[in-house]
Amino acid sequence: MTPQVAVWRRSPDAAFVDAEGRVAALALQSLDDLGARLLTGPAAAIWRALEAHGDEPSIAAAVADDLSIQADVVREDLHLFLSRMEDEGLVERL
Amino acid sequence: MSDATEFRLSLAEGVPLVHAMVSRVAHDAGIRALLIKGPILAMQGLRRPRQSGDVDVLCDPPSAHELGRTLANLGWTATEEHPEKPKVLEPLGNNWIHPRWPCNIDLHHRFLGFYAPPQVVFDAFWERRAQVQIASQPVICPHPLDSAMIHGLHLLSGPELVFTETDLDDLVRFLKESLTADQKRALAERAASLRAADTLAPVLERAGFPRLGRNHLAGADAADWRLRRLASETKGVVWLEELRSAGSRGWFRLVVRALTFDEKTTLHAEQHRRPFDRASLIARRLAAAIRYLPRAIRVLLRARDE
Repeated sequence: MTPQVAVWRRSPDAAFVDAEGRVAALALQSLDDLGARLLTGPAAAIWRALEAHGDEPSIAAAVADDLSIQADVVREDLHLFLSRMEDEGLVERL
Repeated sequence: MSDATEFRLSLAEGVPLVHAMVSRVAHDAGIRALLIKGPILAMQGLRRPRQSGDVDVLCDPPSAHELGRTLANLGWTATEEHPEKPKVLEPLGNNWIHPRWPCNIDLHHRFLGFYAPPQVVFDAFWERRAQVQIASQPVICPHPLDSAMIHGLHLLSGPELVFTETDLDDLVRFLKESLTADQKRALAERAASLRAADTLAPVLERAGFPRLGRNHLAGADAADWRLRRLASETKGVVWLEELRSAGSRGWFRLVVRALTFDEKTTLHAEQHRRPFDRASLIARRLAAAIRYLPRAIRVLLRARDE
């Protein structure tokens, strides 16, 4: 049986600003006094890749292309990272 | 895969996010609140894009405290007015700060220049509210023409603002060129109904609006508007006005307070439990008073003659 590929999207409740080379994101449905999350480097690239891609292989390929690195390197931690962002309310699993 | 370890937002990041946050927080709490001024003005074509330093909210007056409590639950703190600060001008709202956000929130329960009851003004704005997208989220704001009135009054109340002339020109051009004669009449009537026809007159006349509802601002309201405008352009005006209102019984105490109260110094000393040099503060205040009081007196006397 083919393992199911996780499909992700940015949470519709995530406010974000993509400027100055990084992404500042705020989960509006789970606000606390810690403020916004700052995403730089690969994290910002993943966020941007979510604009057009939902499945992890496509996200990894887009990020690898963006950062000029191997997609395998991206895939190693991608699922874990997306899961953390899901816990923070910034992305959703479809 | 690492993300940022620093946690310092820029204004370009913080201001849009706080707009989205406040609009969402108010909505979720069932509080009617409009985000005003700032980036909304540029989005509505009323001003050139410019980085704002704070976030302005006009709240349904009876709900302003509740919105404040909601912000407090998220770590925001209201900056308290020092008890010795002049009180002759009624506060229009309060200011909120947060250690993790680069901008303040100005939470208004009333907006200056509108002299209809605050509830009437807010209800009018809410009835034809609009929505813009900021930080990819819906943000509730006034209709563009109501934003234009708010923006105009803000500019007229603070002639010393750096961008005032340019912003006024842009606003007048928008009103002159974007509205039909019927729309201008409708807006002039709306300004009159909100008792802002006199306060907005300099903008409305330049934009060719009909003169409706003029010369109705009088008494305490006229004095309030005059004082707010003068206070923004000339130091010492508010203290002088409070002195005049105090009468002979209170003036001595008021003079002493005016000479010895320095908000920053007083607050710093109180916070750090250190005595401060009162004598040198008085000397500095006297020197400052010699510099700016003559102009403040001339400004107040001229205003009274007008």
